[in-house]
Amino acid sequence: MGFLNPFILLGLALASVPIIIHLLYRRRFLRVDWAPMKYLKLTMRSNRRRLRLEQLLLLLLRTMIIVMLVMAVARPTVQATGAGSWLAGGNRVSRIVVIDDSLSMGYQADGPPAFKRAVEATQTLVATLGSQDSVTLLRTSAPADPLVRDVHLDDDKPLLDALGSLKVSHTASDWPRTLKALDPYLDSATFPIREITIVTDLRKHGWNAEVTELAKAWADDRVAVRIVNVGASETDNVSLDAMDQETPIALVGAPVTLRIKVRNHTAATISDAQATLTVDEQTNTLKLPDLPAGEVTEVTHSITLREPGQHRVRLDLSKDRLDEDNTRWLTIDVRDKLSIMLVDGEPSAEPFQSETDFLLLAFSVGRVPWHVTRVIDAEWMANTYEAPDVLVLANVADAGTRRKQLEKLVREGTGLMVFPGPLVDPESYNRSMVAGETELLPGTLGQTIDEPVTGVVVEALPDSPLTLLADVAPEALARVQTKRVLDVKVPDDQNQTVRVLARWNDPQQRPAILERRVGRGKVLMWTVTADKQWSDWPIDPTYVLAVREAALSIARRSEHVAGVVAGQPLSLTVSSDETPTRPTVTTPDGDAPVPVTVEGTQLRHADTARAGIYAMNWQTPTGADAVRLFHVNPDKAESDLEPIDRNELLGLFAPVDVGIVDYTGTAVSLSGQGKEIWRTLAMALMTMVMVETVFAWWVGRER
Amino acid sequence: MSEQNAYLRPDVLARITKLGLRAQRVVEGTISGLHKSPMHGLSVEFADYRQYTAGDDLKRLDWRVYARTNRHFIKEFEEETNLRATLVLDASASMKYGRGAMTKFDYAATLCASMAHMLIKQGDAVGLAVFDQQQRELLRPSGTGSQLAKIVHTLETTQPDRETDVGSVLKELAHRLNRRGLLMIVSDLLCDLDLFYHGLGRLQHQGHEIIVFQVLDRDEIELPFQDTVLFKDLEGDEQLFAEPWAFRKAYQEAMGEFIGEVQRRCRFCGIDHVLLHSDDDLSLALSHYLHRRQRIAGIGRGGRMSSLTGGGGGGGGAATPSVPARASTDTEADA
Repeated sequence: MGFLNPFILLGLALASVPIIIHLLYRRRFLRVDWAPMKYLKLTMRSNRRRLRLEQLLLLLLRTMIIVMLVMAVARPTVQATGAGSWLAGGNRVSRIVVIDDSLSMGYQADGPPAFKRAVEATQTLVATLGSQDSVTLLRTSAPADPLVRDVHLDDDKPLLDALGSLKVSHTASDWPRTLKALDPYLDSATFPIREITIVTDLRKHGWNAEVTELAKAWADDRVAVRIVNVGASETDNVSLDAMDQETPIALVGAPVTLRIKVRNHTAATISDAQATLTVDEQTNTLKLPDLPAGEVTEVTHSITLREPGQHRVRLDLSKDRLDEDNTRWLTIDVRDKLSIMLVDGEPSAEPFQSETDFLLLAFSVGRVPWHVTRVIDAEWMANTYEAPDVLVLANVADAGTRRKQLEKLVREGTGLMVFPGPLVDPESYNRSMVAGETELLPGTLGQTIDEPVTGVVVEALPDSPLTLLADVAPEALARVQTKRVLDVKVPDDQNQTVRVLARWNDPQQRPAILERRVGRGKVLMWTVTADKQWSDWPIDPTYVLAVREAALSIARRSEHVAGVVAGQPLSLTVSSDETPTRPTVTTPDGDAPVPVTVEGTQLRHADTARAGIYAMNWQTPTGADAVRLFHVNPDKAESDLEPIDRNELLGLFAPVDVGIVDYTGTAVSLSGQGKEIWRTLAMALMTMVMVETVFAWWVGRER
Repeated sequence: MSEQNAYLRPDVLARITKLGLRAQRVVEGTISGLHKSPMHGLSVEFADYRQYTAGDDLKRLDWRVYARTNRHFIKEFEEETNLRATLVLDASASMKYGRGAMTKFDYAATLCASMAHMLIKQGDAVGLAVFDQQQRELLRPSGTGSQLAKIVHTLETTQPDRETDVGSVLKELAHRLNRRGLLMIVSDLLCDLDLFYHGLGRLQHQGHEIIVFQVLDRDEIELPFQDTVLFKDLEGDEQLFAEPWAFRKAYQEAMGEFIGEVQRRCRFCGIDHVLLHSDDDLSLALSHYLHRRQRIAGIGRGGRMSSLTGGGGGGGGAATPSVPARASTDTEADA
């Protein structure tokens, strides 16, 4: 038995009041010198036992009345089993049942999958509920969208059927978020006794110390928590952790590299493993290398796509106990070309004397559809051009006059590459493109340094476009010689929007290539000219690779994020003049298209619990059908099946006393904290008051 | 009322003096008076006829009977004599009880003084025996004028104390009262009743007429207390804590049984039993009794107390046999 207001139990001391009154009453009496003692004794002797029993019963009755009154006010609860169930009688409980439908619940050990067991256990719970309790039932993947909320189950069949049709999601457990989402249900619960039942597989992922803060609040609110474990003890699993497009921009006919990560969670190395790669409708088998136990194995694979547009890629591993993490999806946006505009500040009719000759050569080699346009600075200043994917300013004297245009282009995604030269006035550049609200260039331009330097050092930075160069020809970079470089002072960047990708091999380690992120685009600043006027790098073969990789790294990307982890919303921003009509989403399960939420120019779809390819469809103002593909992948964190230690879990819920029940396939007890019995006590109290009244009259009557 | 006459209340005396007390048994006396004597002689009260024998006085021959029957019968008359009455007063501690104007002892003493006054006024001899565990005082019956003063003085100087042992007291009285007379026992009878009955039997055996005045306080009969009460024994150290309402009826039944048993015993043995409550008007109570006694004068009485107690004397511890119901000659003052 527990009490909702235990401090009121201090009032039990009042139970001594009748005893004290009884004792005080015995101290107030009349003294009488009496003669017929013989007859008095005779009478009392024959009535003594009855009198004592009556007095004792009356005292007991009065004491019990006070005890029951105090206990009723303290609101006792009892385990709702056996006598407790009888006592609890009409007391009601608001029950919140949380079914874990995270990816790990698909794990199948010897018996049925954990999620199926969870559904069975929940169905058992629901079947034992009567209409007196209120029930809220929800899933961890969508806590804000309960199956039922605060309902009384007069007919539980619809709910049982709904439970039977549930599928495991590909989302990851996030217990603090899920449990925090229960607060509205607890606040709006019909009955004061509230009990949360969590049906889960007790995997470690998703539990953290944030749960403790919630548990403290629950303890204050007397919320009971019970966990039904449906998980298995086994953890063997092979998962496909990632399939990413390594090539920044996929172009028609150009190879696109896929980086694949496979994790072996078993205790033995797996050999001869295979995977099935499906690109659009074509399926190929990939032979995987040996997968060492407990390690992640990375595999790269290139595919070439011949058609522009979005392509669907799917990779499947062989089936194992947790099949939900064996598949990953990818959508590849293939472009028909990459547009590059070269603005030449010092054009020349002589071969390789023009400022951009070497750049034109580097961007034009190969079969890759790079579309390069070269204009002289005067033309660029005078005309308006369609925004290129990459804009290169080479020794342009008055670039600062187009600052606003440049900033708009970069903010909207165009990559800007800036080369200095004799015509560039550092002070003018600094005034126009460094000062002001938005710094466009990655540093303040200084003086030209006329000191020969040999060698370029590539910084080890993540996602650096020069990493490939450093890997392929480090010795060639060491041979690069300069005669003059532009000194650029790197700002003290708090936001880390500026980074130095490479430095000259001089004592000052002056920057060679700098990068700044501005809006959705990037700006690359070189400190030597694009021709061989200041260095011999343009005539070195590494220069081709360097400028191409640099151009690819800053080229305009697709505006929409095509890939998300299961559970995250899909979002697509359309242009303001392209109001979509009847936007819908087709889910990977093949269900009927569901409407999309439209928020201004943004289309959103929140329910991505299942992994796969989602297609967002709408009609343009011209009546044309438009479609955008998204790939939703399982959360790889769920592939780690390490179970959580029960004591650790109980510790997370402290100070709430959590009961953990192992579901064995049979009935699950609903007994949690218990039911209130104040109603029963109140009835008993009233009865006892009436009995006391009658009994006191009966005892006190003339006899 | 003066200090000397604390127990002589004029209202009582005025009401009872004219009534007088007539002995219903024959008593032995030395002078002619109101009471029948065993010695037949000159008198107006016819007693009996007997066969004429030689030497009898012819004046006493009943000629009318001779004329009707032709036989000689001598007509005998009862000789009236004076009464020798003894008041036996219980002065045990139990007689101290009384929440009203008078304690039981005061009431009993007044009764004794009043009766003594009435008897002396009608020329009878009155004595007084005061007892508790034993006989404390004994004033032999006397009809002199100073006897009343002696009795009143004795009553006034007596303080009730100690336990009651009426049985041994009556036994001693039986030894010391040689001549037959009237014994008026005034007590609450809260004593060993078997010994009391034995004492009565012995006295009856000696030819004494006995009247029992049982004086009780109304509290002792009704137990009227509404509060919790600590009862302390007047004749001992025992104390009892009780809530009287819880057993009042049972107590009243027990007291009723006690009084009823005494009444039945006395009735069977021809002893007048007069129940008096200490808050009763004594003049009315005595007047009522004396009137009643005059009305029933001459009705014969039945058995002796000794026949119920298993012998003429002793045997104080014997169980009290039941008494058959019989036509009442008992008196209750407030009846």
